[in-house]
Amino acid sequence: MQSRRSFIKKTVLGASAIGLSPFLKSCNAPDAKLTILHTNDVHSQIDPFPESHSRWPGQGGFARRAQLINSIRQEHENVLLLDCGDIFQGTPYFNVYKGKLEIDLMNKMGYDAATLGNHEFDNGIEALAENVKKARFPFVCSNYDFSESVMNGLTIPFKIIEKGPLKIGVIGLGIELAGLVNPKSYKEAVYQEPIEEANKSAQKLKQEENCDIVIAMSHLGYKYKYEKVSDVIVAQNTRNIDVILGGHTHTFMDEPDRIVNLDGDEVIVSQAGWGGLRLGRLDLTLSSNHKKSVALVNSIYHV
Amino acid sequence: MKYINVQIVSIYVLVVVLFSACQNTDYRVKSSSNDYVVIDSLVGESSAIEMLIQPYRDSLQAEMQKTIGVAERELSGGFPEGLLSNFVTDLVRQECNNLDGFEPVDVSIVNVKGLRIPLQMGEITVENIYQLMPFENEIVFLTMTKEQMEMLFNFMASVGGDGISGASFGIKEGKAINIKVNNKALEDRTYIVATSDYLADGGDHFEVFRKAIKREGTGLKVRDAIIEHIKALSVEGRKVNSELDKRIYYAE
Repeated sequence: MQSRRSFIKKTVLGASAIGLSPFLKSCNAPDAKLTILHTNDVHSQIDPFPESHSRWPGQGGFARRAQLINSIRQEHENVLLLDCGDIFQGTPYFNVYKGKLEIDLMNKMGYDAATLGNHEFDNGIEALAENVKKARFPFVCSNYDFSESVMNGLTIPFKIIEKGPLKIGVIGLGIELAGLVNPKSYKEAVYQEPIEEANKSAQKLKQEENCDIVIAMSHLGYKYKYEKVSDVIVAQNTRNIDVILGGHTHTFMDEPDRIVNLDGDEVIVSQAGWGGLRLGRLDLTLSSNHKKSVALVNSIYHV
Repeated sequence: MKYINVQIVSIYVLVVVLFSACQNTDYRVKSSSNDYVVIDSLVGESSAIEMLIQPYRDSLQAEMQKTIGVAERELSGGFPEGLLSNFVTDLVRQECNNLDGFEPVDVSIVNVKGLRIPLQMGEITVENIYQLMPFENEIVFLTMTKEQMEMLFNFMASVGGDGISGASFGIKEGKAINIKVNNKALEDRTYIVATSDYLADGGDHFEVFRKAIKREGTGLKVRDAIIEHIKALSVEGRKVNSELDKRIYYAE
């Protein structure tokens, strides 16, 4: 006589193979598309560079970028707009208006999230707090501890954004401030090891919050010739991150870099130059898989 | 009979689970394509954003055209010393010594190449100073040993001089001779050098600055120091001027 357990096992397998196959098929959702638009190191370049500029004549400018973003949004459903830091500093607009205009414009353009660059601290952490309060998009900082500072509660360690069927997890990685920013400007802000914090936040987003994709906005820099934590190093030493959008090193790329992470999965590493001269665009096609369904069918054995 | 019940129950559970799993579809990146779109006039322009910028641009333009002082004569850069670099390094040293909570500065150094345009004789606008110093360089204080100071002056001699205040030396066969800081020969002590963060990082071949035993940021930008100094001169009714005083000279 067969045991009860093996009888159920056979029944379930038979049922799923014959009777329930239509359900499995209906579970096969169509591919989802996600368009990620990203900027970094815009450095207060409100207007296009002058026509007389030796390298970027007449390029850049917020009004043009906004127009491009608008037209992409009209053509595509799931569009994400992210900035990877150093929004501020570089033109008299910042010296005179202290960052108000940059934040106003990013609000109007509908940025979904941003992370902080080192130059965000240039007018001091108090001035930064005032600017962050005016933003209608979140500043995501996974490795700055602001709990003892005036920035306490003004940033979040991760953000979940839903676009169509997709659940997108976003984290933010900031560069070490010591040596780069006057200590009087960042005061009680504490920099934490980015690899560890990235792993923690990404694990939470992917495993606990069931995000379909995790994107890191980073201001660590693409990569360095000397030993310093960078986007490439973070990609190599973490799990659960699909895309790293970078900044700080003002890197123009022809193609994103593709780095293998601790799980052997590919991480897309990208950066869009600086000064609003380029709009980075990453179009992802995501297919649904049935890892969860399979796992749940298996769990029936224990009924 | 008992088995049949179990079978029904298990199928029921399976159906429910599969339904809920469907609602929780798990997506994975299958493929990607990318672009770095050049932002130029072909992109067009958002009028809503342009309207938001316009008043700021107008008022900024007005701010930049404000006159902050008057130059007695044209100040331009030069080697081994120059009117412009003498003016800027002198004022950097002076403004630094007005900062609270810092040790007095012995020497200030700003590279001539970093001063992008000459100051014309006559009225000086805010915009002129932005053109003169377009970089956001911050003044930093470096603590240096006597040996490092000698290396610094020898380096400056090897490139035919540069902007300096608080010290003087002659150039002979590409080396610094008769080095004086505050009119005194170098002593066996540490010196405080005020310079830009750019040079302190080894920019413009000032590699010796990277050896400094201590570095401290001031939060004061070189450009702001220039603007504030010229404004202060105007308040006192003075014009912008400087002299060539043989702080760096050819001894051969």
